[in-house]
Amino acid sequence: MKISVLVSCDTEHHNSGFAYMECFARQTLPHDQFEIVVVDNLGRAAFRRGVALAQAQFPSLSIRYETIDRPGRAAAFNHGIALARAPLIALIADDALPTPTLLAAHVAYHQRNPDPLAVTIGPMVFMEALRADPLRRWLEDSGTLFGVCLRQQFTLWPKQFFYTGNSCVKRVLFDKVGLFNEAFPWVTWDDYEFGLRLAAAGGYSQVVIGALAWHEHYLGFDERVVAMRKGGHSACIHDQMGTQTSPWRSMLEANAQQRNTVLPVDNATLSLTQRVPIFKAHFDRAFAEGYEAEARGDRSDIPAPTGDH
Amino acid sequence: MRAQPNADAPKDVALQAQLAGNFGVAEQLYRQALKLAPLDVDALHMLALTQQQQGFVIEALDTYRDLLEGPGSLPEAVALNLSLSIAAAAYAVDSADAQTQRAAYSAWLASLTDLPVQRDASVSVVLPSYNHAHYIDRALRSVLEQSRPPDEVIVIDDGSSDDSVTQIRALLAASCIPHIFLARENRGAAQTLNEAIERASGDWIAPLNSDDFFDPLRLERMLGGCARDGIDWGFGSVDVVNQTGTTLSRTDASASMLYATHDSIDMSESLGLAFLRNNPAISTGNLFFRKSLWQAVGGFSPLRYNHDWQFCLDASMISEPVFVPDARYGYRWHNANTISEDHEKPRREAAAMMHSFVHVAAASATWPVANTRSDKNVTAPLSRFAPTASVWGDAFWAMLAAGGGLSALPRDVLSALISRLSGISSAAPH
Repeated sequence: MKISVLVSCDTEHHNSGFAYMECFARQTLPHDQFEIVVVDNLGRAAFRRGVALAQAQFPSLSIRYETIDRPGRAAAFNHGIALARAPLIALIADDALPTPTLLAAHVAYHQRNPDPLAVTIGPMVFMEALRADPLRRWLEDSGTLFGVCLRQQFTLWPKQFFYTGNSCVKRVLFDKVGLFNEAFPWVTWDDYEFGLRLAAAGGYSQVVIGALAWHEHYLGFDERVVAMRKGGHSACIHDQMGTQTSPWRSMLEANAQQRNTVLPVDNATLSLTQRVPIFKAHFDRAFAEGYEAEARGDRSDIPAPTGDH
Repeated sequence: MRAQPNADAPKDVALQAQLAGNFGVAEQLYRQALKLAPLDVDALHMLALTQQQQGFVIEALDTYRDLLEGPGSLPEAVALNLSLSIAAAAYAVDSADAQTQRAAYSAWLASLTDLPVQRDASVSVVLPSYNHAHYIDRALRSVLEQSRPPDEVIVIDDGSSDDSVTQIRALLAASCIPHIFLARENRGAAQTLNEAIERASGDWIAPLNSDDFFDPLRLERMLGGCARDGIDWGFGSVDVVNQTGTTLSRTDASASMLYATHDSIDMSESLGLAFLRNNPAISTGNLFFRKSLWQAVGGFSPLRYNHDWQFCLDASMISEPVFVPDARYGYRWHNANTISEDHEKPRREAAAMMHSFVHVAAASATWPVANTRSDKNVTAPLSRFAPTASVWGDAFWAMLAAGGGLSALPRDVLSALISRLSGISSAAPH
């Protein structure tokens, strides 16, 4: 067994568990060299049924489906890490459809570079059909979605970058850096905070293009607003840990001054360059409102997960 | 008489806004400037750059297309920023062709381990030596103490003025491995390599720089990874070491750039394509190739800094390389590395090299279609994974753009490419 794949569930995703597992069945890495541990703390019942179907259809795949009560992606990954049996641990989002070489590519890099502090990053990009949506295209190309534009052909990869959408670490890394911080209750900022600890420990990442995954996420404006609100909460949680200065402080202050301004309404007939300032205004305000709500100890603005039935 | 409208004022204000990160404001101001002077190259370039900075890749490409309508060659900065947009637009396109090619390459890689190893293959180590008296002992011992000894060692001292020659003679005299040693006047690295390989009788050639060294298992593992039907060359992992031989980490300031270059093999759809961006093999000494490939390629070109990169590009056109990760090569980073003697000259030499390469690779279905390089007159069939547009489609353009090689292309070729890449996005279903 070379690699354990940990999959965290997100209730905002509406993909099929079967199609997702089919991508693992098509991996070029032999099935006996990896296992998949899905950790669901959001009640993705339909996704679970799809995974069960895949378990029946692909008996050579080692798949475990775990449900836990602790909320948040950090808790899901920590649970999975405790169960994982391989020396390499891949962290994959349940909306990242792996291309066939994904696992082999992650494994190959780690075989080449034995440094325990080395991390591989697989790109996670929208297929062209999803990029037809201007918001998604802008979120991806501007680097707003993950912090860097993963479609970019880097001359030099920004080695401080880390995310859990599609990455792979050596298990021993967690001994050096610690687990994910379960203070973050959603799928936001747990990876950012882990990345800061990784960098502080001397760790670094390397993008591995062979580990490409297609980002199957029909992300829309309203969902992004909620995500930004969660991001605001998480930023406040992060600030309350007292570990970093707040690079978002000026944005929060600017937003507070414009709190009474009525935001313009998005209009699909406008050009992308005209729409982006509107997107940003709404997203920034949602972030600021989330931050302030968290500071008051109020999380009532975040809808409870409803599962996918 | 009415004064001619001046676009400089809005451009200046736009630049201030751009530098302050107010990209939306800057974009509007550049548009104002362009109303005053529609063909202002600087304003068009800065508008495109501002669009890029906001994540409007397709819109930036459209602006660049306007720029390409002008005469002459593109200024270097324009070509560089245009390349960034093209690299992003051409990246990971999920067309059927791209997925088919990806699958074919993946299947080929998977099939390699099933190919029988040619156990009777012979290996010649060739070692050009030049003024590395401090390091030659480690280099030559690493050859003589291989777990799978070479069938012969050929050392040519290229006019060293230190005591390299004395050390080499002593080490070779104490070894039972067949060897040839020549000491002569300086003729340069590429010429010396070619002379040594010309004399080699092995099926496979393993060069070694006189300041570097092999891991003890290097030849055994290279043969295991490469000496199979259909494989003609490969390279292994690089460990960057300092003057005392200590391995430097990827976070070490002096080694990080080299490791970034080496690790760029992971940022490419194929190994051959990776050479369009840079030279991830790092050094001639990390190469391992059939002598017949060296003959087909026409040997090493007489380039001072980039003869290894040129060799890899040419070799990739004929035969896809393989990467043998556990065959390690110790690359020594020290004050006297040839590449560190000047920053600008290697870059200029590489640009000229890529210029001549691209003109052929962008269009050819055979290699070379015409004898475009004065130092080569060899033809060979094109590899099915050759780093060309005809084989790899947009992955070729993305990698070429990432390496800055697009500037070598004529404006009409670039303009057609931009139109097509813009079309991919606008044609996608809503």
